[in-house]
Amino acid sequence: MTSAIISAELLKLRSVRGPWIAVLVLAALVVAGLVFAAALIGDPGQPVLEPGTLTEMVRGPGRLIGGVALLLGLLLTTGEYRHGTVLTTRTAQPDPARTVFGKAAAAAIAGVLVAVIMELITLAGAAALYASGDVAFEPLMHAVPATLGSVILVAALHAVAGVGIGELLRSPALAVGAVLSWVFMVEGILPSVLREPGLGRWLPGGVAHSALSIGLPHDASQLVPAVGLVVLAGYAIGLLVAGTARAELTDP
Amino acid sequence: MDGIAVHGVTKRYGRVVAVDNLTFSLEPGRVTGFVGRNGAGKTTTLRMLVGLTRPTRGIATISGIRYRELREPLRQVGALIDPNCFHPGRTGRNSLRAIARMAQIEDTRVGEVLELVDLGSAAGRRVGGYSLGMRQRLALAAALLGDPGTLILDEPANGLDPDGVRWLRSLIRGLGAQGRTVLISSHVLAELAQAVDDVMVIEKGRLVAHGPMAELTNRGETLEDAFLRLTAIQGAS
Repeated sequence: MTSAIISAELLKLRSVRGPWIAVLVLAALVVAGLVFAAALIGDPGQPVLEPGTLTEMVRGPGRLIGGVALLLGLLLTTGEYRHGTVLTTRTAQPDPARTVFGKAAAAAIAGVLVAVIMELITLAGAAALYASGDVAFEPLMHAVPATLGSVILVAALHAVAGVGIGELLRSPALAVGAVLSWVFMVEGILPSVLREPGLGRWLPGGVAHSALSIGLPHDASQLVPAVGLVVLAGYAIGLLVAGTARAELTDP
Repeated sequence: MDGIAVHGVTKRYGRVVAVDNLTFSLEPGRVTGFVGRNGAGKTTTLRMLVGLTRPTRGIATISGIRYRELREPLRQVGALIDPNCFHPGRTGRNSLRAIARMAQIEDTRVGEVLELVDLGSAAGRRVGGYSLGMRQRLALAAALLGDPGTLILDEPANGLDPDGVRWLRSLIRGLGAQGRTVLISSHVLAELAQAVDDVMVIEKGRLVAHGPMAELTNRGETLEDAFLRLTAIQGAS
């Protein structure tokens, strides 16, 4: 039954334009980032193109991919309430918890697919750049595979968090507004307001940053990547459980 | 085929009592009209039957089982609660395919019900371009997806043109004749009178009459006359 829900949710996601537009915009940004990097590399004060630079190129779009994965999770849930499709979803599958977990699994799959596609674009662009500069292209070294893995995992966790936030808030505008406010305002000022400068590394943006820092020298102001991933997973699961509780306790 | 049973169901929204200690049962093979004024509690009752609204008290069952506990709900109950239950950017066909997948109903059934409601040629168009009548037909197709023994339809004639209303009447009578339990709410009493075997009248959340159509209108009244008489008595009491 759960696989049926996941299959239905993936069909819902790919049968409307919103998710495709988000993914196309992301692909355009990833390509633009590559072009920008190609233009800058070698300039004074900019990184030199060397085999190890590939890790940074792969890590670069990680946060953006996570953001789009979160948006896919939000669209999958808030769209149901916005357009009333929650009525047919709930009559077809009357157990709200099952539906929410199915949505989370579908969003995570979509997030992983998006991350893989974007990283393939990045690797293809990087391969061309390395070939033109006659520099060795070594995608299996310099922590590139681990960085790729962290980008994919971070995308999946963001997608799950998006489903949880969507179930909690139910309105697309409210959910997107809340996420943007958190990212651009709350997370920045909270450590100052609470006079806890170290708090930032434990907040969602901070842990996502840490989770993507595999292969970098350890920054004492950040969590180590593995802890960052675990805390990020904790946030995603916490939001999903809270969203499921709301779905269980309140009528659509 | 499946019957509907509602026992002592009450739904409160704060201090407002939307449905008040409602009890009734419907037998398979009967088409029952569910009538009441705006805000009388019809839609709340129908939503409680299909698990979309939790009763404050009481129990509503299909074949003796709460909707939420049905193993294959769409194969037992088809519900049309609101025609605005489709994403405007999704095609009619994909809207039904998503529902069918979730309920583990084979994809071929989607084409069958689209033809049944005469939307076969519009199935590839986005629902946002559908008229109200077309969305109503699509919602009816969704209700029929699982070929259920029980149908719960809230105002299914809304937005249908005269041809559509006639088609709907014959469809409903046909579904009843096949032994299905059909509960249908409507404000168009003259139309409803031609399609139903039994009538339930609800006023201020309470059941004020339930019986065969012929009994309710045995003084030579129309259904509209009977409804106004029954609700006037209840309103005065």
